[in-house]
Amino acid sequence: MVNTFNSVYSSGIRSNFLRICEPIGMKKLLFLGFCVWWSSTALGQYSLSDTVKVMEVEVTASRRKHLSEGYKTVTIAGQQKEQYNQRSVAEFLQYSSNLNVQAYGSPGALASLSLRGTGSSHTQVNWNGFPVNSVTLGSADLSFLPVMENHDVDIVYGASGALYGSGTFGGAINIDSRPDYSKHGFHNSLSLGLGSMNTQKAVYSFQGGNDSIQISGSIWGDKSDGDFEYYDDIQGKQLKRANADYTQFGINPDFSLKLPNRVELSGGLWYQVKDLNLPAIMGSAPKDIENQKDSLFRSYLQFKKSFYKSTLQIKGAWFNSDQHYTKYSPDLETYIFNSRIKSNALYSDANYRYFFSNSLSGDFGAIYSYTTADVVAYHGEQSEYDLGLIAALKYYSNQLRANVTIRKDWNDSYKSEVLSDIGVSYHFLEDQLIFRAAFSQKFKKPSFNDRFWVPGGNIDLKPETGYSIETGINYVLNLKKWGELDVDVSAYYSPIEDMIVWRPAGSDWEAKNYQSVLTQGIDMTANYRIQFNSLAWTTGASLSYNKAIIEELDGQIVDNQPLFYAPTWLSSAYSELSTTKWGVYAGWRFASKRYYDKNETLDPYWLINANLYYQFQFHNQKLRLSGSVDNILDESYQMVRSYPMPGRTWQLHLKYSF
Amino acid sequence: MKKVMHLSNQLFLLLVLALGFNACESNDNKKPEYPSLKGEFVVCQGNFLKNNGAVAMYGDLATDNNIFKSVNDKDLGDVVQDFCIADTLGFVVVNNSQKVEVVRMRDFESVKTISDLSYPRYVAQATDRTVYISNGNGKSEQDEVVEFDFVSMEIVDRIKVGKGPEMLVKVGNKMYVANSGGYGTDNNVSVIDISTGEVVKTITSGYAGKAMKADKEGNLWVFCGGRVEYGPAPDFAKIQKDVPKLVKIDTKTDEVVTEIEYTGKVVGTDGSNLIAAAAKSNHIFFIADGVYKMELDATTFPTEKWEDNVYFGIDVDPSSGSVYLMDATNSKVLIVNDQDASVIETLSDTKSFPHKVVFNR
Repeated sequence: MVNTFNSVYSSGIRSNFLRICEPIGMKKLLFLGFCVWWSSTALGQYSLSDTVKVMEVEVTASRRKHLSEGYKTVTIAGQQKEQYNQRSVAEFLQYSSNLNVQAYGSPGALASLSLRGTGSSHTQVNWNGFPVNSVTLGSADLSFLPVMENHDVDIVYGASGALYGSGTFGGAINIDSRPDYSKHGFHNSLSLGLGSMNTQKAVYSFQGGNDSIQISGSIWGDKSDGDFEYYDDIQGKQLKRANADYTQFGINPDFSLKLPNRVELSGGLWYQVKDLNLPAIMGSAPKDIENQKDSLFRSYLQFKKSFYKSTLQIKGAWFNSDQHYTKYSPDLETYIFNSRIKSNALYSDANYRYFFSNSLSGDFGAIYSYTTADVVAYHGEQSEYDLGLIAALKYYSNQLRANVTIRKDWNDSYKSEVLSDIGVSYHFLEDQLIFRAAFSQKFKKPSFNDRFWVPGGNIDLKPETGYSIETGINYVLNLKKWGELDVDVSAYYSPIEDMIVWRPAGSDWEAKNYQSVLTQGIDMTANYRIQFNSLAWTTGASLSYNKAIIEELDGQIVDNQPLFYAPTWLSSAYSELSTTKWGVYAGWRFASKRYYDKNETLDPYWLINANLYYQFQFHNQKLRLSGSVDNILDESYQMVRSYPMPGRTWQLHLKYSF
Repeated sequence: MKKVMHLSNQLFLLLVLALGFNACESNDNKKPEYPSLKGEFVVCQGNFLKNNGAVAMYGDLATDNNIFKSVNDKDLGDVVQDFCIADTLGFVVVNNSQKVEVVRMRDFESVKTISDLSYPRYVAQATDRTVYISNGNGKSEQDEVVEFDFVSMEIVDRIKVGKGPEMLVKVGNKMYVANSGGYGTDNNVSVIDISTGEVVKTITSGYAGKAMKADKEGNLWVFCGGRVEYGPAPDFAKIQKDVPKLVKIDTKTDEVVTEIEYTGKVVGTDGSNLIAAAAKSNHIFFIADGVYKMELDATTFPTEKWEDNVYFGIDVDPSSGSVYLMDATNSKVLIVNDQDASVIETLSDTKSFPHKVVFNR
């Protein structure tokens, strides 16, 4: 019974569920619900006999969702995924959010997320619970992550260190496959896209199944010349980006299977290859040609079993990546640089959840990973293992929800302190007003490059350590026929010790635990929705203030030196009108100046983007035509010093669903 | 209609907010006018790929740690490697932006950008109307010295030299070019007859000859860093395949007369401006595991350090003899007494990686 209730909460439809519960009493409904669920399980049948089909509620929430009280989480909604289908998560965040994306300009080029002023290696990016951050660098390339309809994408600000492990000072992004057992039959869609810079895209997606089995997936390919015009402020003239083309291809099938005895088996694959030419930095026009070829293969398998008062979840994953970088001299017809970076990671994760009562559950988990990387600069293959043990308690009631998590990690070069996390949310006025707060200890282990790069890598590096304090309020005002207003304000404070920095050391550079940093700030968002018959209007704005400073360098106190690439202000606003047939969206985003060197800043920038769509429905077939224009005012800007961003670009998409 | 007005009002508000943010963040840059550009110019390489190389001026009447940007309202580019003054012009070599900026020395305003270069490194005046620019990374067809006529503002010649040409030193009517190998390997110095523009001799010196200066007697001193490889696991220690050495070349005979090996010494810096010689001094200064001061007629490595710290570059004021030590860790230059290394003055707040000083007296 408690399983059902907690999973409903975790799936985010808590307010509607509570309104259903109230008239007949919570406990009776839960008991009834459990009986229905139990009997249908015993018969091996999960569909309701009622003619009304409702979305199957997931029996067990993942550990990350179950123990996330106190943290601000933003979910990329279905409509947004539809709009940004065929685009990467990097592009989506770049053009429709106020998050700090650091992109290297050209389509397909490296793009990473920097949350709350911290670096890109301080945001953990997970695919079905397994980190996809680079083993060698520690950061995740978001240009590799396509926005897919059958995946949920959550952004967790300042995610718990005790829950997630290494590298969450900024937060976490969770990309999870989401089987929808209410969807029966087989559905397909084919999308084709064209855009500026000779951009061409194609995606085939499928989803099929019944109440017991679901398969879904996508096959996609895209290419672009990346030859946008930009103003080179070093050369002082308008130029066209050269050697910036890319091609990529990917496939991502998932499956979920409900077996007898309340067992669910799921899994998926993700294979992607990219061939990307690397353009020179602004001001530079070398004859040499740089190229990078990436291939990655990810797979996971998950087993879930529900007992009367407990659940067991066991999963494993294997990741492989291979990057080949070359610098070619056309004059000499030979390679100046030719290097490979290969890595493998094996993950396993087990979690047992026991429900002591309706309102109290305990989680006990173990996570093990074994990672290897073969890089020329390491002078041989290097490896490391990590073992993490987690224990948590969660209390749940109508108003008060809280979780306490503790964790300890062992690595072949260090063991962490016992990390703790406390998160709480208090719900007022039937969930219209929610107060949340959390405290979490965190750490980030050194990357393979930090430890093993020759010269300069340091096997004696300590992990970065610190903590965060979060608090926030979410208020939903239901104005009945005048719509709904949702306001969220959060504040955070997070000091980080022993931050790893590469510093000059004699004739070389070396990695050192060098600086102490403090990041603190406030995030505010407001969204308003209203429906006029078939016309829906959604609008919103957000404003983020962040102060990320270096407090100490090598033990010496410094005077408020700002962290690089940490904007003080980020802001965005949007407005969208839509019906079942068409929609139009306009958005604006702003980033204040960012330091890239002591006393040197990148100019602030603001962008205006728009898109519109129209769709036709013929029985069970749908045709959707959409177009978007990004950076309408053709603003010249850089997210990373020396890498110009595209000016005004457009894309047209045609999607046929059948 | 009312709903439309709500939307347009909102868009207007967004525009006002945007303009407001932009106005708060924008800077007013007024072009400076300096009464004199006499003083010291510190060449700051900047961080690779950040386009933040600079020339910092510490003038008699004014200081500007990024004078090119202040005057020309744009950055120099990536890896500012060298600067020299020829006649009334200054030449700034920007290595990874494949260019040389020509500026007027009365106001530092850019008058020409020399851009048909693949990998420029150093510049030196050759004749009363030309400069030589070393150009080439050792792994291309272009390993050359480019001759630029600053009266006609044109490239007038390209002289093939060894791989990865670096520093240029003029002695008499000859230009000496240290061939470091660049990304490849090389071990010699090319001698160019300036009057004919021909390489008349190649002197075998040592591998990775990346610093070269002339002393008051007209002899050349070349620092040869040697080839490096890495040892076995687990340490993968850096192994010097060739012992670093100082090579002295007699420019009257164009022969090597002295070789002084850095036996047991590790050069503790990645910098390239590692030798300084004064026009009036009987000593040279060089950087290894510290700073050393050595007589011009020395034939063995000094037994003691002159200064214990390792710096990114070193130069000597030709008029005062004071020694300039480039501290890249703290972005400053220490001016020290050439007798006892006591600090006379500090040029602080340079840009990243100061590595050379050019004196304009």
